[in-house]
Amino acid sequence: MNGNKIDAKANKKFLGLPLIIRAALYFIIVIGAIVMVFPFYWMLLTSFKILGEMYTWPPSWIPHQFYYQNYIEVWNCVPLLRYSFNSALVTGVIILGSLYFSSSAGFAFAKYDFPGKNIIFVIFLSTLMIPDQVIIIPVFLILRFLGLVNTYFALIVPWLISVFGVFLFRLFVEGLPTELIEAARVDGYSEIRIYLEIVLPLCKPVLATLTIFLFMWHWNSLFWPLIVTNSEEMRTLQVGIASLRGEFHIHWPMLMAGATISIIPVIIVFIIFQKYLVGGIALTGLKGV
Amino acid sequence: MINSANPLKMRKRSSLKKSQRQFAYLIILVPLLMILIFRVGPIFTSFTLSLFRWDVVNPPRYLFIGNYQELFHDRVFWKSLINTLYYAAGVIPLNATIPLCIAFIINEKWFKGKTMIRLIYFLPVVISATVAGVMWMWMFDPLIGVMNYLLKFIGLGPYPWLNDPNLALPSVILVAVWQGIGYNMIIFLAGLQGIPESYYEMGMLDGTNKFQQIRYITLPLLMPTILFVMIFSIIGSFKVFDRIYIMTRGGPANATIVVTYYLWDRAFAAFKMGYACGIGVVLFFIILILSLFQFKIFRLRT
Repeated sequence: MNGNKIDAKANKKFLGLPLIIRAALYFIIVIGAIVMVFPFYWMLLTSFKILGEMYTWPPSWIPHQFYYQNYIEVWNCVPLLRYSFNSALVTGVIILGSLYFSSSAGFAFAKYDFPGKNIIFVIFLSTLMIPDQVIIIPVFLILRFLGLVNTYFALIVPWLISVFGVFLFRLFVEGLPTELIEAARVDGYSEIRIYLEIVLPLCKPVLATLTIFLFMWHWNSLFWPLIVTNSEEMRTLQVGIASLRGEFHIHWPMLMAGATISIIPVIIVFIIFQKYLVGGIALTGLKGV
Repeated sequence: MINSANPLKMRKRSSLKKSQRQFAYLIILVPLLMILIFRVGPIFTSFTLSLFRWDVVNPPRYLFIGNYQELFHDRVFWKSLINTLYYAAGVIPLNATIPLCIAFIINEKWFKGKTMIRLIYFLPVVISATVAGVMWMWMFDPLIGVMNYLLKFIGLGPYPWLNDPNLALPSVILVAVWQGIGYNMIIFLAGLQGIPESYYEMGMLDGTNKFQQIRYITLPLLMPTILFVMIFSIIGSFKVFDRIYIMTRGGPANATIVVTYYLWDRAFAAFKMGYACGIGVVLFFIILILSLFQFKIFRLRT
């Protein structure tokens, strides 16, 4: 008790910042937060403005009327629904495939001994350092040769394997007690059942973390879909927004309405899964691989 | 272990081992094939193609190191390299120091509303560079953009932002910083929380004040994390494409052209596949060297 008191005193004396400094620091953080949110506000605001109102100077901070017509117009002008469907399909299949391949490969690396394991692992490891931009030309040329450009195959299949995911799972599964697996074998579990019924359920945090990472990367990716799609029906949302920028360079309210629609899913997923996203970043410190 | 003397059990165990091995091969086969087809194969193809001239239509022509010689004398390529370094030099210091300061402040015990602040600062991270790009392009509009309007209050501007060769890249850097702060803040917060309380208590006994505490305890212990973040940001800077594509298309007058944009432009606008692969190979080696640094630091950290 006494010790605590002294600690508290020491704390106050040496580490307690004066109130005025605390207030100043709060002020800085709040200003920063406003800077973070302001572009979102401005996008939303613009998306509800009539084109004419946009040109008024000084700009209005609240629209004179909520002109939601921009949303209807952008929805009718470009196939936003189709873009969203493409993005959702591509992202969804990539996530499911990556989760399966990463978890199984990670499991194999973590808990099995087999000849060639180290070589195979080094192959996986070395690809971590290859930037996407370097491999896309050959991958594009292969797909072109096979006549698969502008298909879902081209959008999805090259990204079904996530080396980052394999490492994440290997790291996590290595931490699970091997006795658990041994015990299951004694109980007569087959290897597949061990993977499905013992390992996977324990991997829930990693599955969630990888899901949100993959969702963010693939929902937001522009580079590959831009290269591999050339018709309107195959475009993903990001390519759609990028093309909208060209077509409606002047029509900012419509562009902002389209952009607002495109970020709704990612904001929702972020708010639901933020615990796993933050935990995953803290764990790996890794960004898009 | 005693049982292993029993031959019957041993045979059973070895057959078990075999079925386990088979299972391991089975589940690693497809991922391995995909890695070979979509990662390892293409990297070798890239190296090979970089020795050819190929426009996709006519048959490729072998040039040996011709593409690299051309690359060496290509002003635009050098411009793209310099711009990439300029971009990195602009983004990295800001994206290391600002998140570090924020992490310091909101990690304090007296700071209330930490979760909310973390959420807000992270919002720009989750949206695509494409959407962030169009958001800011509109704010940067030289005539009716809100940036010039706001800056007028503190007596600055109006600026032409993305339309001006000298201002375009700094404008893009500004957007990159805005989008990157939240991410690094999370890494630093995790790093700060990894420092044991006892270190501070020891410092307290020695009578350190807040600034001495940061200077002599927190910063040295956080150094590996800071280095890690910086290297990661450098690698990220060399990969930047979306932001440039959406906001400037490399313009005005190549003022914002970066390596990946030039690679894309050569391959898919000029159809010089071999030449573009040459750019890719150069990029590969730059990132390889940076990654080796990164691995070293990662080892230090763990």
